[in-house]
Amino acid sequence: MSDNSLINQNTTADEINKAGNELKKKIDLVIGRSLGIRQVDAGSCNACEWEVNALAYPFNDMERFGLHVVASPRHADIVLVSGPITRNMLRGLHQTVIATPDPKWIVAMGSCAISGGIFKDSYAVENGCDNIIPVDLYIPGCPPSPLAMIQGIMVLLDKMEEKIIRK
Amino acid sequence: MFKAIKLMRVKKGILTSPYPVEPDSYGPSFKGQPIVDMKKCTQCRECVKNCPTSAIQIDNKRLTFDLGLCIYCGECAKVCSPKAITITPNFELSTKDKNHLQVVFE
Repeated sequence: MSDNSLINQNTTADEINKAGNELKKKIDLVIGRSLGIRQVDAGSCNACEWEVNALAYPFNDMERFGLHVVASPRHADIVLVSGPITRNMLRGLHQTVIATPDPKWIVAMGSCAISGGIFKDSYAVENGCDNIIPVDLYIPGCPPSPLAMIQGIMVLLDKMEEKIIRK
Repeated sequence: MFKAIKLMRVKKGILTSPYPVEPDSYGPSFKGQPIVDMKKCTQCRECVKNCPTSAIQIDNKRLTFDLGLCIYCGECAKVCSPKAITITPNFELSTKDKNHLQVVFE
């Protein structure tokens, strides 16, 4: 999975600087310092929620890219789903996704939202997000660390570039 | 008085991690992607029995890790007697394709 890493750590300092500057330009172009995240707790144990909280701490500081957690799906670009999709939250998740305006991206966060994780094959869960709605990005981890989440959003940049047309 | 407190307590410098622009990592004890050395593996299937989410499958000298099922507890590395499985601090695992989450070791 090392091909997923954004910057190859074995390269020299100059190459890292160059790749970093290119990435910085791309982030500014695509995200444009404005990307709303709506977090949906579909039966999560709250560990994933704490990690989303930790994204806003000064160490990770997601506001430097313009990422922010919004209070309504109508303001959001990304629907961040955590938890194994319990039956009680199925309708709520559907309505959240319908209420989010296009272009939107659905991100499955944590092992639970990807495949059910530790709750897999329980009678009360739907075994992950992609049985319900098409998922654009998978962030594995239990819970995924804040830096892993930042990496995930950077992996999504190519997909965002296709949908957002800037002239 | 405030000046004295400021001198004592307030530190200068930037705390924020420069992560996507420059490489950054958590400490060596961080539990990230598991890696298997198949030369050491004796096919005792102890990891398969002890995995809480049955994320590991062994068939015909092929070990498959499902990173989407794994909860990164490190139990497999703990029970592995030939020490073939190691937990690395690599956290960069996000993908757009679910098939990339199936990591095969041969």
